[in-house]
Amino acid sequence: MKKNEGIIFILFIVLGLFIRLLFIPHTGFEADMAYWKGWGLAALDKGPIWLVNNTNYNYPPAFIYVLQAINFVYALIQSPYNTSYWANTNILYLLLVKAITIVADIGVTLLIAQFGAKCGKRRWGMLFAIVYLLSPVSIFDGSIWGQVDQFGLFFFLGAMYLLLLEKPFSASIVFTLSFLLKFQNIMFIPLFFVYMYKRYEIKGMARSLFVSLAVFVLITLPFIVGYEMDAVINLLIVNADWFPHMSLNAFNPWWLYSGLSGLDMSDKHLVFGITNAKQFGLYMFIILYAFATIIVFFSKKQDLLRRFILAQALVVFGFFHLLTESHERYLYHLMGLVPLVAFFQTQSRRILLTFVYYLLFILSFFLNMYIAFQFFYQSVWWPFDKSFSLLVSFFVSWANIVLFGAFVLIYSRKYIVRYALFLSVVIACVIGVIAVQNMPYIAKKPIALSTLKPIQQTQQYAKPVFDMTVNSHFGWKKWNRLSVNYFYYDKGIGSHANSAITYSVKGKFQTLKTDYGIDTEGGPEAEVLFIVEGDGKELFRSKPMGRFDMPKTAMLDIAGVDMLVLKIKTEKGKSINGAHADWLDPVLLR
Amino acid sequence: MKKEFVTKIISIFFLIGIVFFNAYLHSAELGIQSEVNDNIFQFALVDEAKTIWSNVLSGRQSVMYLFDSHNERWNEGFALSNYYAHLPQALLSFASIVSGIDTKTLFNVIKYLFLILLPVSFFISARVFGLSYVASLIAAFASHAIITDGLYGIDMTSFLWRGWGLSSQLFGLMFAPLALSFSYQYIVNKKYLVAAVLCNFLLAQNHMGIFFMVSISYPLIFFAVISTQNSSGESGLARLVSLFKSEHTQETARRLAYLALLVAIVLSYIFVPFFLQGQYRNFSLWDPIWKFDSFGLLQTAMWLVNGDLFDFGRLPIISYLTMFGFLYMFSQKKPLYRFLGISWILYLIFFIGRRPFGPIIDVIPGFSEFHVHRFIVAFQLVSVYIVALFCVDVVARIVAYIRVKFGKNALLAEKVGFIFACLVAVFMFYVVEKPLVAYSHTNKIWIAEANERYIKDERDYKKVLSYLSSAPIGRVYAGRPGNWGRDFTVGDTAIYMALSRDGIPGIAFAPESWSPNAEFDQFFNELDKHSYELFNVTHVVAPAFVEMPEFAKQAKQFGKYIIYETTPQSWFAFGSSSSVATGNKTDFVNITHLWMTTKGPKNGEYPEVSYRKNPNPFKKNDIVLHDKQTFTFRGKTRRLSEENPLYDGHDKQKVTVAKKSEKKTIAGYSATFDVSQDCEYCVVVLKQTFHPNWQVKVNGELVSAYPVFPFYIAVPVQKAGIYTIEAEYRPGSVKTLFLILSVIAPCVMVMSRVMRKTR
Repeated sequence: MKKNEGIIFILFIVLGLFIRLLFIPHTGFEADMAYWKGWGLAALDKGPIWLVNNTNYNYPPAFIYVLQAINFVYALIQSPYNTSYWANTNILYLLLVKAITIVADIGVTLLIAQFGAKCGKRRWGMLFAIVYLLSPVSIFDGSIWGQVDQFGLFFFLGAMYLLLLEKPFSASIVFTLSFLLKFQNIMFIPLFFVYMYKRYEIKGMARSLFVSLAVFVLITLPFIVGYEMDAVINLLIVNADWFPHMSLNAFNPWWLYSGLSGLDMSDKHLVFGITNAKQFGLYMFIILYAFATIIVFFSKKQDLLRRFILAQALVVFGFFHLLTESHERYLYHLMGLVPLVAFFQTQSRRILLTFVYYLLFILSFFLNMYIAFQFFYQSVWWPFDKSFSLLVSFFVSWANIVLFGAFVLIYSRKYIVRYALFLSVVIACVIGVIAVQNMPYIAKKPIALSTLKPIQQTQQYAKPVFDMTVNSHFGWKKWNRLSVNYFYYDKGIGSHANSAITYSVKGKFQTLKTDYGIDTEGGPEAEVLFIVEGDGKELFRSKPMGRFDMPKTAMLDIAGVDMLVLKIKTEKGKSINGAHADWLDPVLLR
Repeated sequence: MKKEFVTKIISIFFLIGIVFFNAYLHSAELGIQSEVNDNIFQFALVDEAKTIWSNVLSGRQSVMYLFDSHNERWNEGFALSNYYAHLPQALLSFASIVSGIDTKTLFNVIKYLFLILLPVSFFISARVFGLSYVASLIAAFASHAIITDGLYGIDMTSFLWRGWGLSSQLFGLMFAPLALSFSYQYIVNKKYLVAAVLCNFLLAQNHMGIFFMVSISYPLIFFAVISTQNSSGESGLARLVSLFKSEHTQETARRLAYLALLVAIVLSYIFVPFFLQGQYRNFSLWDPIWKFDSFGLLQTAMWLVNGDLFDFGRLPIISYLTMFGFLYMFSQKKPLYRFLGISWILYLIFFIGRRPFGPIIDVIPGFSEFHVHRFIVAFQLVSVYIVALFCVDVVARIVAYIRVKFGKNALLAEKVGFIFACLVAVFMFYVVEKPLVAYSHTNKIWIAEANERYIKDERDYKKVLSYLSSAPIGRVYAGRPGNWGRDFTVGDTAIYMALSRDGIPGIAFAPESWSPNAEFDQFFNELDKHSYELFNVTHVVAPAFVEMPEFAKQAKQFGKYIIYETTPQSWFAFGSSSSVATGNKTDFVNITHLWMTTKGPKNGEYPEVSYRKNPNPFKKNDIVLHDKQTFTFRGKTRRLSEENPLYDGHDKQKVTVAKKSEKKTIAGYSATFDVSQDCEYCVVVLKQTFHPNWQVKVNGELVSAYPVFPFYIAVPVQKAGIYTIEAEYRPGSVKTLFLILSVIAPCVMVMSRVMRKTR
């Protein structure tokens, strides 16, 4: 019987493999493919450091080696220096890239099956594994789209499996590799080490961190030796505001909030008082993450892994639904985590329920990915127009939200009740932080504009700097206090002509009061105009201000203004050289 | 036993080797002719202390002035020793007087000795911590080997001539490892109490900042001890309670409290006035932002992983040993390991600074004005021991592994391993030492070049000094950091700094967070006569290319130094003070600057500076400052850019005042004025930085003076008549009281211990 099941399982794997091979010629998400090609070629030709410093590479450091390896193999077979390399239909390249995801998919399948077997649920393990393998999600993401989410998932699940086998050091190695290959895994880092602490105490956690550091050092060794670790740090943080939009086609609450146009709306829009969407999402995510941590932290050892898996699933949901800037594919880890949640269920009914949940989740998630893909490329079947796609996205968003709610209710309801006190403290703290942030708004006190995030900023030289001069942009040795003729200001925006800084103020304020002038660090010849616009209408234009003019004050009526733009311009024909100009102590008044 | 003895001898041999190597590397420091960095300031303090000693020894001044005096060399004077290290300067200057060795030579020798012997302090402290000889040697070596790009840490770039010349930090650092290790041993094992108190005292005397940083780690010793104790109880809470109830925990807490109390008592005479009179100390906006705020998370992370916090210009060997070592510290259940690990992360967080934490960090007393970037010192300090412990333990583990793994062949494997280790050590030594040697080599060359230039300028400069010393002078202006003064030098030392160093009161010394006037004398206008009056500048030393105004007449020329004399000025001014500006000390910078641009100084209008919560009811014009820009005046809140609340000329004096005489005393000034008629808001202003320790008598009666713009001492004179004003800086009574306590407390402690031992 077991043998037959094994054969059937293998046949399904072969089937899954076959289906994937069929889709290899699909051109995939062409922009992603072009990036892989460009980055891989640069990595092979010039090395990892050059790649990071000279391109828009924004993946983790270990992934460079994967791209290098792909291009190495490619170069053995075919030259990457002719135009066919860049063709969307370059089969060899598509094969090599998609081969990684196919191998990862099979690896994930085997890991799910093995995890089930180790948990005493062999058949369920195989069933979940087969569903994963044949699911449209995994096939579409890897073999059609050409993304590598399963690659990150494979290493992540590998680490979970090693934890199940009580191999903490191997698990730490694989886990570290997982987030050095795919950034989403970073979200699990704190939870992972809380788990290590609970399971192996401080000593064990320290050793695990030691191993992780060792892996990190090995992976980043070329950067360490080359004195380029700042490039690695930049890589690790660069994604924090890479696409500052409400939602990157993730059909989640922010997609709904943005009116089904998350990609067209900045997440710096104010949603509550002076709290913007990004901050609000982050606060909500912190509450959820704290809840997940509490679930793990207060666990007994025998229940620890189960709770850890559950907590991680919650975090994935939170990452997708609560944070802005979420991609459509950010639910992918649940493709591996939901089966693991199922394996820890003790009643068959609950496992069956989870299985059904898994199928529904796959359906909803697939639609999200498919429609998102279709927004960009029409190389997949979709005979409907944009408005219908948006309508579907509306329903899918709600389906995703309901599935999130259902997961919380089904699997973590009892923890909400059990840890209500701790959870209340966390929520109270977050409310406290939001209240402190909004206190001046509530109390109708002046609100420093520099505490708000602009939704857009353009500047011809360097970038606007908040509460310091524009030269401060170039690092700590250039940090300077804002001042005009040595009259100092604690708050403001150090800018440079020509610039335009846009704020969403949503008609919440009556008055803008600001000082302005050329900064003490500006050039002696500098001369600029300060202009304020509200919803496209000019509200204020200063006289030309020179380097040795004293700071001036402007008080403007901005009642009903939604978009406030602060502009610094030189007059026609005048140079922008040395035009370090400041908006000084700009405040909004209700 | 024999093996340990051999290890001890070898370790000490290598330690001596490090000292000799240091002695060789830094030998040029002995021949410095003229400093170019913070040591100008430090040297001037020693020179100042020497002057006080001569007054004390001749019976003209109380010995208390060595602890608390008004130093007039910079920024319109400041009660520097009230807030700053003073005992090392007093001792150094005394040694110079007694030995007859000139101050410059002695200063160079002492700095040099501290510099080359610093690894010995680390070695001894490591032994006190209980580290093996080999580990202690590694600690000593690591302390010598750290190098940064001038980040003010414990490395040579902080101390050498071509670096920052932070001799007070060097002196403090000599005692910091000892204070830390002795304190640890007392709290954990009840040993070395006297040594702990003494080293903490010496540390604080040499560098209060380092003492502050080191001492905040002492409570962590308690937590480290707790974290390594075994506890009983089912739940986490029960285990915690049982831990706190244990005799060992309580005993540790008692010892921590006792040590803290003793150290607080012996240092109370410094810290009580420091905090009580904190508002009279400047918070300078001329200081770079990063000094107060440090560098933030991102920059710190980049430095750490790139090796810039320990290994600038070489492979980040110590950096990564530190990071791995830090994690290793928590993998061992030993109090010292845990203590070092917790301290490491705490200091790293503090070094990250104010940027991620905002004002929360200021909850810790003293933090709001602390140069947080200096936490690199404490961070590197604990890292040294972490590296030592980690290296030794790793090697021990490898040896143990070899013994198990190779069985009968273990001896051979060990020998091969030893040879391999030696080769690695030699390679590492080469890599580690290369940038150190390069840095000190350049230091040597630059010192030689600067000395040559100094010798070339010295003869003329000495003539300038001699001329100014014999002239009846007020203050001397010789440029400032922001103009030609930066490049107008004696050797490589800016002359405005050299003159102050050599006892000539000057203005526009590189601004420091000490005298509140430091904020404003940078706005001195060399073309404006009233600027000279405001700061009592009587002489200018300038190069030929600088065109001086007509009222400054050339008096002498010595080589490239031209001395100008201006119309005679006075230490006293007469004026009115009808306005009062009330706010926090950091609010005054713009309004005072604005005042300097008005006719206020010319007309003798000196608004009062008030830190009171409520405005002064006796003044006509109340200006309440809310921040640097915003104020409320006559019920309306405005910004300075909208309206100037300072009246120009509204109080122009109708009163005629004749100055009859003016005299400089040892610690102050006196003058006699004849005021022609009654005048409600009239004041006599002494152009010295205000401090509550100034004692002012009018016609022999004590009166209360107050600060006026920019931050001078004002004495009200409201009735017609003749006034003899005597102003003298006197050491604070609080300081004196606590100094007595500081002396008595250790005496009592020593006596009680002696009596206990005798019994």
